[in-house]
Amino acid sequence: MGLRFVHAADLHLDSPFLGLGTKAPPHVGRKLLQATFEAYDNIIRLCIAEGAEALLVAGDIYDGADRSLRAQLKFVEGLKRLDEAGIRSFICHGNHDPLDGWEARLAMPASCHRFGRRVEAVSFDPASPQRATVYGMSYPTQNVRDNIARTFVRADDAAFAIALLHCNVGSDTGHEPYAPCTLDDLAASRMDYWALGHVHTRAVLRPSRPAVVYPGNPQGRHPNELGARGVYLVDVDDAGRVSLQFHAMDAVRWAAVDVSINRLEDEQALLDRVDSQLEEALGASGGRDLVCRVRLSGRGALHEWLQQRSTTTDLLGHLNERWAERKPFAWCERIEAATRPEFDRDRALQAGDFLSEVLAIADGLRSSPEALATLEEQLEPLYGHDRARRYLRDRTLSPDALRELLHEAEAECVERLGEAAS
Amino acid sequence: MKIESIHIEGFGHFTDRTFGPFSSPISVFVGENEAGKSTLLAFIRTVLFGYPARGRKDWYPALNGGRHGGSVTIRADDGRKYTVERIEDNRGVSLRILLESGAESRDENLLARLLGHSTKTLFEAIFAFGLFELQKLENVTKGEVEPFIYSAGMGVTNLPAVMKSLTADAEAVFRKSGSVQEVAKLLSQLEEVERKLKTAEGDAAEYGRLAQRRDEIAGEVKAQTEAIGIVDSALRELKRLQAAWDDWVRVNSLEAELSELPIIENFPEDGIARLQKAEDQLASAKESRDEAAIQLERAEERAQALVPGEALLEHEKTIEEIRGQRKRFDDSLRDLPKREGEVAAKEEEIAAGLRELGPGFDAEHLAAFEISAGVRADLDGWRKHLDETHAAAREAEHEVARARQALQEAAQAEEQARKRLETQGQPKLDAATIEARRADIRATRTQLNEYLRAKERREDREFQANQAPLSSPVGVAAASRWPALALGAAGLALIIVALMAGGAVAAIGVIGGLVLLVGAGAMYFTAQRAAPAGPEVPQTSAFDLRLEEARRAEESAQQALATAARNLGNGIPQPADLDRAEAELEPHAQAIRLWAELNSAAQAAREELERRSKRAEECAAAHTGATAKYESAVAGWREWLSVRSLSPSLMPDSATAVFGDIRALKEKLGQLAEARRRVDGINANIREDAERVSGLAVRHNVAVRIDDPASVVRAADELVARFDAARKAADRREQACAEAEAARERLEKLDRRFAVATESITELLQLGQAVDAEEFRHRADTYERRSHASAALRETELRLQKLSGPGEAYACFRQQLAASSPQEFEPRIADLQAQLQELDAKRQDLQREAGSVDSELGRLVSDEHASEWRAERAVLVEQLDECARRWSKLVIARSLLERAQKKFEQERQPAVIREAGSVLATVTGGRYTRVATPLGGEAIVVATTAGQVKTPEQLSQGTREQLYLALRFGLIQQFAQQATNLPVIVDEVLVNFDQARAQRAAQAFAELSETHQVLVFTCHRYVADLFQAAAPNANVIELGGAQPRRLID
Repeated sequence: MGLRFVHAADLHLDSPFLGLGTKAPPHVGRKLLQATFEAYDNIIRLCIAEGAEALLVAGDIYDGADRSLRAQLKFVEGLKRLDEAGIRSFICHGNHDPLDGWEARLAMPASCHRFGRRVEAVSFDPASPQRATVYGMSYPTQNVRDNIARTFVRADDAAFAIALLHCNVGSDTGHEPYAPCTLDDLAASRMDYWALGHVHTRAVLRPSRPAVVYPGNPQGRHPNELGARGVYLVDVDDAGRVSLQFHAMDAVRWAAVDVSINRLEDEQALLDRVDSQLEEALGASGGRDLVCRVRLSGRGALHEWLQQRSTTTDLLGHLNERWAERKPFAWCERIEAATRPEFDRDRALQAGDFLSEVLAIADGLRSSPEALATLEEQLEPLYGHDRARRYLRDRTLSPDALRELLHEAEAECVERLGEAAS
Repeated sequence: MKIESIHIEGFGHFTDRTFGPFSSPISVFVGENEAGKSTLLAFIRTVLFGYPARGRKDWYPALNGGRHGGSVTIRADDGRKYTVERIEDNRGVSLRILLESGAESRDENLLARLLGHSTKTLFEAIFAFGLFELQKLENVTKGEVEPFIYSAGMGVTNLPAVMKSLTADAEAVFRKSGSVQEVAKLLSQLEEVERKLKTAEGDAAEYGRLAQRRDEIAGEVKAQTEAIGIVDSALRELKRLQAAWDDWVRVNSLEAELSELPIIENFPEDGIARLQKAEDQLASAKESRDEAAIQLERAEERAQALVPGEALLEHEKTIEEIRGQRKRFDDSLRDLPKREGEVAAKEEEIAAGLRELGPGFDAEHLAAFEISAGVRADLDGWRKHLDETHAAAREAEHEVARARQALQEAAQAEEQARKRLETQGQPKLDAATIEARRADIRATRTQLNEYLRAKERREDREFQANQAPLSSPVGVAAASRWPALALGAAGLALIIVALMAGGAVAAIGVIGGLVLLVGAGAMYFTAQRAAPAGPEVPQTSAFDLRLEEARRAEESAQQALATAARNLGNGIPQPADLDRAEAELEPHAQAIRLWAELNSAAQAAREELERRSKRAEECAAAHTGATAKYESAVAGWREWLSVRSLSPSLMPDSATAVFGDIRALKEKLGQLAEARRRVDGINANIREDAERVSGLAVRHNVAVRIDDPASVVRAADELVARFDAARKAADRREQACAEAEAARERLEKLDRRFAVATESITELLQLGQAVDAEEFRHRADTYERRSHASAALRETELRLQKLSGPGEAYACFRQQLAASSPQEFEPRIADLQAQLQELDAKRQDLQREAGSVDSELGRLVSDEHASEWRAERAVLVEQLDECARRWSKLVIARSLLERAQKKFEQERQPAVIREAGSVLATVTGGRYTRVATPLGGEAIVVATTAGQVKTPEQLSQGTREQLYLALRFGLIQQFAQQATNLPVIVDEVLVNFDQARAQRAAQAFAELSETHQVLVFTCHRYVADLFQAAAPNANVIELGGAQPRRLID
């Protein structure tokens, strides 16, 4: 007799959207506040509608540091609904909601198993323990840097073994390396299905024996968390073969509107291009509301106009007047005008004039880490500022970040020096 | 690089204009203001570096047509020739570079290479500049002069402004101790949000405390509830005993009562009531039976009674007819005499009417007399005919009288006309004679006029012939003008003298002078008029000829006059004679006109008399005819009357009245016949009714006389009364028979009911096992008491069992009751209730607290503020990051510029400064020998030969301009070393130099021209001379005067 369960992770209930360049208008703001809850509600509905036997949540259910009562209460409410529908739940905690974090005193339903600070094994179906076993462990504290995947040892003779863990597989995930491990560690565990959490972009690292799966977060909360977000509905047949079915659960979707100004003649052409991309994004969102970041790039006649600060503000206002008020809405949180003037850098570098000197100096700075460091010193007043420092995302600027800044500064010089020539 | 020639297709006011070839290293363009020097400079810049933005001051449209743009032919450093063409049209700007080989390129890179990669800015700042650019430095405030020069040298004139704006923009974002910058504001907001979130964390702690308290309360409530349960149970037990006590006592008493009563099984239900009812029914049945017997007896008696006059009932139909016609009979008797009276009166009226119509009329004739519509139409026709004929006769008569009167008046008029004609008499001359004489007079008057004109002409000629020898020559008149002129000159002199003398004498002098002038004028014009118009010629012979001719004409006219006047007699007439002869003819003409008028009037009167006489005769004939017609009509009318036996004296109107009378009488005849018919009808009715009554009356012995209406009436009434009495008696007997039958049936029914009642009493006594009613009643009472007691016992026991439960529990409960005392209940219950109240109050307090804890927990859980604040914090952090990035970019940009500036100055400035010093020494004739930048400073200073150091501000304007020119020379050389030798184009840069320095500056340019082509624009000829002096091979090009400008939209 096969199994059917839903694998979710990184719910981050009640955590705010990050990276928003502007404050959302009231109706959008309300929607964003509810988005993680709505996505969770969608998961509960999916479990019930699809007749899943269990819901597995692989950590980061909420951000403990936020101390959100709503988050914990709503989470338990959802589990109770599952309980009433005869669906069991297995949860573990991750770096954002470790066991030593703040927690409201809420009673979990009887059918929910919450894994503790050490690896435990519980029956997937207590009425029929031979069908499957779920192994799991919660982070006792936030900063778990040990390879705990290796402590997952199969010690039962059930037909199927599931491991539930919040961890970082591999070294280049773009996430903090909590509970680091390798795919080989997981493959060696004799488990059948690794239900992982932590990485927000869904990924099937290994399809079978064992299947290693990140479902990603069910609600994108960051401009980099684009596209559909959701969970995996997992079916296991009698032979232990796993089949995965992704279901989008997000209530609000992030969309990137990337427009190049190359060969765009005028403002209207730009607006038309942005409009058409927004239209397309809305069409693909399945009726969901959208939060969009407009990125303008390329070189062209519109660059100068776009570099005026009021331009992007006005443009943003104009777009939101048209798109943020409709249903479903497409709210643009900012316009990044990363355009370049029509400028032949190589030629300018050859001109032997002042600008060529500026460009040569920039090149010199880029190529030398020591020289780059001198730039960092100049930025110290802000990045070393007592009050500002703790809020800045990058408290120390990486060489790459400095190089990027150098590019922008160089463009600024070209721009400003060129004003007299134009 | 060198510019060889320039071809402008359309630029500013230049159209299709070529300059060059520029063979000499120095070319001086001389032209007045607005000759196009700036346009030419702009053209070179535009072709080499592209079009400026539309609307900029150096953007020149093609004012006089041609394609916008043109070409510049250059000789590159490699010795090759290129023609650079830049044209702007609808499709945009096109660049074309023609190579010597004839090949063509559109590559901007090629051009950039040819121009040594110099930018437009660099070119404008260093190679192509005018006085304005030199003087512009003057306007820059102290401390910015040097950066400006440096930046100009670096090809970025706006560097200081750029630096400043970068600093300002960066500081608008962040300053270390600032409070109004974007970062500072964001930090304040962030800290505020953080503070709020801290409060929210407090909420979380509160939630933990409250959740714990909620659990404690739940435990306490549970304990309280258990205690309440125990007390409540004891209380309920006690209340149960108390509630059962009365019933318990009653059960005991009912059980005692039942034990005392005898047992009666199966007594009839409701026995006594049923017995009583049976007895009542028996008594009632007996009473009804007796009453019915009496009723039967009485009815049978009434059925036996006799009916008087029963025989009359057979004639019911006749009796009903008599009753029905009774009123008609009475009415007939009453109406008959009245109707008979009416007949008699009508007969009398008719007789009188007939008498009035005349003896010929009787009733028969009257009835036959026709008064139909046709007859009345005839009558109207006659009336009309008679009136018309009579009126025609009267009118003819009047017409005869009027004709006779007119005839008489015409006869009188003819008599008068005739008499007036006779009185006037026949005229002496006839009209033809008069007209012939008038023609003669007119002809004579014409000839007379001709003659008089010929005579006058002849006399004029004679006068002229006599005057001719006395005419003067023209010289006389000319001589006479001289006094006039002399007089005028005197006048003028007098006026001049008077004006010079002034005062009162002046006025008099002026007036005198004016008088003399007027007089002189008059003399002059008189002399002028007297002078002959033409030259003097001999005239005598001509006058004679013309005189002779006039005399002949006069004679001829005289003869013609005599011929015309011969019928008038008396030789040559005078005009007065002719007027007189014409006046003499007028009375004759008037007499002829009067006689003709009177004759015509007499003729007309005669004709009128004849016409009226004829009219009188016609009228008389018409009158006779009309009279005859009227008489014939009267005869016809009389004949019509006689046929109808009417009086012949009647006229149509009176005949109409008679016809009315006849119609009235005929109507009365009709009424009489109707009255007679009614009387006959009444008599017939009376007869019929009397016969019907008398027939029946005789048979039933009622006295009657058929011919006596009163007797008939009495008999009829008697018969009707007898019939009605007999009918009533018969009806009563029939009703009595029916009542007797009903009474018999009822009696039988009541007999049966009596028997049934008797039977039911007997049965009931048997059931109650009683011999009589009294015993039955005694047994019934005993049975009922026993039944009641048993029922009450059952009911009471049921109530007790409800409290205790059935079976064993009930028995136990009775034992408990038996062991209880009712006096204990109240105090024990009060005690337990007090305990219970106390426990419940405590529990309610706990529950209230739990409620408020739950509500507070709910509030904490549902509070979305923290979520909103977190969202707000995320946005603020993002904005802070964005600010940091923007600030960093600006800071790094500024750093880049600073580094570049520093390097530029360090590496390139010394050579520039050195070269500038050399040029300045040349231009100032050795007065200033050195340009320097003090160590560590950015300022420029100059030093004299004596070692005196001056800043640019301390120099005179001319010297300062020489310094800046020298710096440019340095930069030009510097650029040449790095890239290429671009042509140097200067516009009026020497105007503020003194002559010696200007010469030396020109010399410096001449030296520069060894390496760089120099193009000079000036409006001063001496500048051209200076350059030619410095460089004898300098080529001077005249641009000409100001160019007409065409207005464009």
